Amino acid sequence: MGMRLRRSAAEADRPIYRRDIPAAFAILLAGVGGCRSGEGIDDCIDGPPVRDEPRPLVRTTLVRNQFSEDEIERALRTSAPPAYLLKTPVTVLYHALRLWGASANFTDLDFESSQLKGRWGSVMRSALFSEDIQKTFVSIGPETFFHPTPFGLMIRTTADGGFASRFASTHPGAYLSVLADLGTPSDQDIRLSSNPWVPTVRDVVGDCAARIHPAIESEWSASALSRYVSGPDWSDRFGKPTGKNQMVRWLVERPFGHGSCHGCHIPYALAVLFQDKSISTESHDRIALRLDSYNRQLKRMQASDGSWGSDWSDQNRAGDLSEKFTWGSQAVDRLSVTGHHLEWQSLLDSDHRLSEERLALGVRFVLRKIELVRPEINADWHRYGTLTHAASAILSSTGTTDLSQRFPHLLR
Amino acid sequence: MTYHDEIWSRSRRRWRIDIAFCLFMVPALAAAQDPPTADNVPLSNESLDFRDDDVSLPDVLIGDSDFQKGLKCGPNAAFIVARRRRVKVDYDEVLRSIEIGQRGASVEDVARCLRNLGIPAEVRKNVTPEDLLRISGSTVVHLSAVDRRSSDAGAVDHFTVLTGTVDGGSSFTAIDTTSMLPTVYRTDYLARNMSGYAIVTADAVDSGSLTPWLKRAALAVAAVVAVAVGSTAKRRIGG
Repeated sequence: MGMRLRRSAAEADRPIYRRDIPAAFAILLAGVGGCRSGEGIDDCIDGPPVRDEPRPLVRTTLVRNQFSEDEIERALRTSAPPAYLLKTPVTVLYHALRLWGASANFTDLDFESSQLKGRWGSVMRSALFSEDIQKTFVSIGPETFFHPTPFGLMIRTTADGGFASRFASTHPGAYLSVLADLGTPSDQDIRLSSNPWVPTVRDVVGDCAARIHPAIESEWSASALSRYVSGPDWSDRFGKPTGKNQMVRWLVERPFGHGSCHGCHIPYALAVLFQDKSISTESHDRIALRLDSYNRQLKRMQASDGSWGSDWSDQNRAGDLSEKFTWGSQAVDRLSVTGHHLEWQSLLDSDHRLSEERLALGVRFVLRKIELVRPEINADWHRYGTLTHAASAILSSTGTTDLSQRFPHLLR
Repeated sequence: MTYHDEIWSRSRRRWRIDIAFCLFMVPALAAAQDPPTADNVPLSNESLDFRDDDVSLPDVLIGDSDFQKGLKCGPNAAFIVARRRRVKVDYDEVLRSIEIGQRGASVEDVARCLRNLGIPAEVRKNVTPEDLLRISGSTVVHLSAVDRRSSDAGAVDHFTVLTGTVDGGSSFTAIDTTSMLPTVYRTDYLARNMSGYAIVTADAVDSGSLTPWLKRAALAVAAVVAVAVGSTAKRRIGG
């Protein structure tokens, strides 16, 4: 199904209404025609000011000298990407690249797709920026998730449903968030196979910023736009003012536990925005207050083994059942929630995070469990993200900002 | 030509343009009208499920492949709206009245078709999900963004007909223009995929439009400004 939009013809054919009169005289008196006409529906949209490179995140070491190199390395090895897949699902692509980066080769892994052997990182990174490579290596169908729009390049997600869901990215803003984690510059080209137009990451930022709305899950978009956009304000695609401060408001109002991954990406997004100097003082204070509430809740719900479960928010309690299993078992759920929470804790200074004792307990839990749940995760790649969040939590908690410096042999 | 002559010449040119604009506006103002409304079409006549009474779609067309061949979501949307308003219309007649180009039907052609059928229909742009909550009656919404760069973007553009809300606006009821069956769209889906173009077919509540007394005041101000501009121009050129 389709439509042809003829904005100028549509406007011209419409009768003049009385309500048009003030606008007509405003045009006459101002001596200008307002927005340029006839070039599309984005003429009046103020796009966001895009940074040349994503703002780096400041991570702090949560626990010092409590874990051996061996322990950490074993946990990391456990989190290697699943090699048994002929094509890489989008969620595995995102999670694996986010943890390992594009310099990981995995020469010792026997990939089902022989073309990945020894060059996993470069191929996976290229799949983010080339439709042809994406179609070859990513399990996404005959189409890809790139869709040119008047605002830039839309990344279609599973939330877009219907015709889009088969060829989709995971969450709105997730693609851009991964690019920010990889430090991808805004002028990085994206090659579309059936289109001569060569968009860049800047175009992805433009569309993502134009498409934010409180009804849409905002956590990934907020994390990504906070890092790629320099200023706080812009217009959405309906011409309405929006921006980072609005996103802060949407996020702080979300109840604990609501959203994907048991609501753990919301405090992560708030922690990213907390480091953003361009948000208003009011927004900054709101985040501080909300993070304080999160910390109180986490203190209350931390188990004696240091973990948090899917019931951390009180949202997932149902009658006598203490927990529902999102990822197949209580063990995987607890690893997932604990890993997620430790990740955002590492983005905060000591005044706004949990005590070192509590965090060390959490890291200890992750180190102990990550190897035990790998067989479960091997049986179902949908759960792979649990491993990478847990491994990322271990790395950031123990002060590893560059994997290639601390464990270069793991990337070979 | 001296500097002052040049300035004066430019000034005269500008005033000529303004006078021409005023001359154009006078007949336009005289012909100005209020936007179409649905006053004469009670909304209560609309049923949520258009198949449940005498306005039902002919069985032969439900799920019929004819509906799904080609880029017919525009004509299908017009047909659904007409049927929901109990307007007797033949599907082929609707098809004939809307030109289907390489990228489907234009939003204005669909609206014009509805107006020709006696249904008040107005094309609006920058319609947000919040606006949809304030609009009553069948609303034809354009989904996805309009692509200026891709040659095959028509494949993802789509018209659909919204018919109401569920759970205070968390979802919208709709009739899909491909299967012609009732369906539900989540608000977050619409928020991501609406282009902002919609055809409002009822006496819509539009927070952006002027109230009647404001309209009259604006008309009066406009008339005063027109007279003032005209007389000033006459003095400057004549003098």
